[in-house]
Amino acid sequence: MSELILDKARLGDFLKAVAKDYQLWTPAVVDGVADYRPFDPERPPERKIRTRLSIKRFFHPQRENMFRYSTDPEAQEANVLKETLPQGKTAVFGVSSCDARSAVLNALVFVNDPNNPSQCPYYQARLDQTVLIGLGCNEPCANCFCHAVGGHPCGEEGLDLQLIDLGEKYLVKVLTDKGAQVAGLQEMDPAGPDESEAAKEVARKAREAMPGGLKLGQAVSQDLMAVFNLPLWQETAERCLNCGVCTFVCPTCYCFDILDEVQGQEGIRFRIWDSCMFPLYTLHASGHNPRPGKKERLRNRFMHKLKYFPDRYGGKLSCVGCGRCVTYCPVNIDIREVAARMKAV
Amino acid sequence: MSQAEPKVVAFLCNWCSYGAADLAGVSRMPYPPNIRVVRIPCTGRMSPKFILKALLNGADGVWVSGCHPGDCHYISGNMFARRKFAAAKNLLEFMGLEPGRVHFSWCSSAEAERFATLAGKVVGEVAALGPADYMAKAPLDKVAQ
Amino acid sequence: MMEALIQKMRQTAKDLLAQGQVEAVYGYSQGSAPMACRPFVARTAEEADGLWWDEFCVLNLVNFLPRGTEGKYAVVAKGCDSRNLVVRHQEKQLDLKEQVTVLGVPCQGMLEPELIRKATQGRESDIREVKVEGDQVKVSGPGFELSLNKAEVTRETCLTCRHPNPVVESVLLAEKVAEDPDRDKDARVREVEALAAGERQDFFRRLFSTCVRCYACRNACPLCYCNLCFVDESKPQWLGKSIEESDTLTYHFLRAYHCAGRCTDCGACESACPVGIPMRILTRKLEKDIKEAYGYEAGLDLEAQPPLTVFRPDDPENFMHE
Repeated sequence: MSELILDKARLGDFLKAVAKDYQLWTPAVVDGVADYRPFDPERPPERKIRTRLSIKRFFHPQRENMFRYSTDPEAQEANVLKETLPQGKTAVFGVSSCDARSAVLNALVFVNDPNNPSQCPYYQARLDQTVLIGLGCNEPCANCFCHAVGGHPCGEEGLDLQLIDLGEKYLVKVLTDKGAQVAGLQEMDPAGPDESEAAKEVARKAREAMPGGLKLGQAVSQDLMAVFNLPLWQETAERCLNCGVCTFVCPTCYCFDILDEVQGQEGIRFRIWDSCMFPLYTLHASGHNPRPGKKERLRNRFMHKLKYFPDRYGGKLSCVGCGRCVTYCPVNIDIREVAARMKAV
Repeated sequence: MSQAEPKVVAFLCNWCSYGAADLAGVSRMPYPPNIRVVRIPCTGRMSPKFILKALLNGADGVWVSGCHPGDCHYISGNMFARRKFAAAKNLLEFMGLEPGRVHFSWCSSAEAERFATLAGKVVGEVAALGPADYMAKAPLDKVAQ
Repeated sequence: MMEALIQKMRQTAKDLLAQGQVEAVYGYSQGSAPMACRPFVARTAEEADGLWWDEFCVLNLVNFLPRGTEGKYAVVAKGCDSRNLVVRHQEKQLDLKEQVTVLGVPCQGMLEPELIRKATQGRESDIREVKVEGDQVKVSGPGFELSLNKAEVTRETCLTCRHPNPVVESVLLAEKVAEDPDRDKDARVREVEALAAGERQDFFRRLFSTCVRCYACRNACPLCYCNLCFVDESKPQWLGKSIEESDTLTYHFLRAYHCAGRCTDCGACESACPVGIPMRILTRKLEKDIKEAYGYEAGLDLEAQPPLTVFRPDDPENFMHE
């Protein structure tokens, strides 16, 4: 793994070089809202900006077209499913370590499931075509807690390149072969041992500044049924709107619905974000719904992220500690509080 | 809309306006063939969901016609409908749907000539606006990108 | 002032619960993050100590009430919330006379977290503290501190509020505030009405371009309590579920339409939206038209009937063909 140095003043040049080979997305503030936007060469990002929606949209977009088909049995292309695989190389700059981890965790479900050999070609295509350029956090956000779920503010998991902010310059870590091929690296000088140490110090201080006393991983070692039957769920669900905001802002919520839409005699099948918060999510064709009320659905979400997922995937929580659900939940349901109570009494 | 022919979905109440359409046809009165008729028991059954779905599915215009106030087969269905129509039309046009795409009228089952005239008017106004694309589902080619 | 209000709220709730006059008190408790709004139900006198009130109680508690006329409860209600109690009473979802005790809060306006977040220009995830000091709102986090004019981050619906005081008989938790029932709420609607159809299309396309179809607006709305929402109907399916523009516009049109003649402009929809879409403009347009045509404003008169459930023989029909 090589380490290079990039002067902050030259960030714009570097990004322009990247943008020649990739469709580049950077965090930007538009109308007061921070989100990933197509790179604007006139306005490279000047500071770390934490986006409202995560990088999930680059691997698992809100709508993913799957294939087209004809409903006309006489048509020449009847019975032919025309796949609509995503095309085009994408680069994303300014990715926080928590978001990057989410790409790896979601990949466990879509392409790397040790218990399931089938792979999602759409997710795989996006993985293959996307380069993630991270920017480590020098300090935590108001509601985040990556350290409590197996992450680190300057973690490298899931990234191809990572920049660490050293003040006047960035240390650039080349983490993968895909990252090494990104244009603009050749112009950078190698980092010296001082700079390397400075970067480690930034990471250490960031980690120290993370809030203490959190118990996100508690449920992993608890008896499933004991936690399942806690009064916690009814109490919390009382104010839950089942609105789905948490699932939509969450980088590790990946549930989807598959729908067909037909126009005339041609149709398209696509995938959209679904939410376990929606009653329709588990509604059977018979009319029976195994999760009929808010309590069952809310319980499922937390149990999935903090118990079922780690049970299935070797102890990894389906949460990266970004804190977005805490910020945007309209009724202030706080995963940190819920997790702290997920233990047999 | 292919070429220049608008598609207009006409929701006609069974007792009055549908009867008028029937009488116009039987009497061989010419009127534009662009209207596709959906028979409903009463305009009181009308819901803006029907209008929106017609637009989503490619209708260039929607026409709703029922009994004159006071003549409703179910006494007052059209009176309730009248308030709903006003709210729906105003909101649709506020949201940017071109005025002239959604039409409402009263036409009794004896008024075949009136029906033919209204059909001509409605289709004429919709045709003048061209194909509808606001509130219409995008063609699959565009969506599949 | 908040302190006195909170004390009176807790004491009143305790008394009602201890004396068995209600089974539950619906209110708010303190949240775990800056600008949080946390609905809360107290069922015992001890739990009543958890009741809280501040400038971020932006949701409408009527949304959380059980449906049906059984079981007595109390609910904390601002002016707009109290009007929703009237609407629910008119729609026979509760009984304001026998079942519900209203703890009325004459409201001085709620702040909009979305406006405060936008004011930080991209630093919203760093907000550690938000404090109201007089007519200023101090927002701070590592490396920044902003002092915002309270009026600039107050919810638009509150700035133009016509009914800040509860409209029904209630236990008042503070002094009534001055109100102007004829205040103009429709300036934004008129601005959009003045645009040409093509410009209005652009306006609404832009407005809803960031909608992710999470349905938080619908779920926060006290009027949206259908057992099966039109969005979820499948035989027939009325609109697509993806973020395709025509489907999103259709969703917002139909949802607003279903609130016609019932919407009290409580603003819970806008406050719940995670991407800050100001969708109240649609319901404002409907309520403006209904007021002009039928002289009706939602949620003010317990005995009145909602305008789309009644008619007059001389209702306007100038929009129809001759």
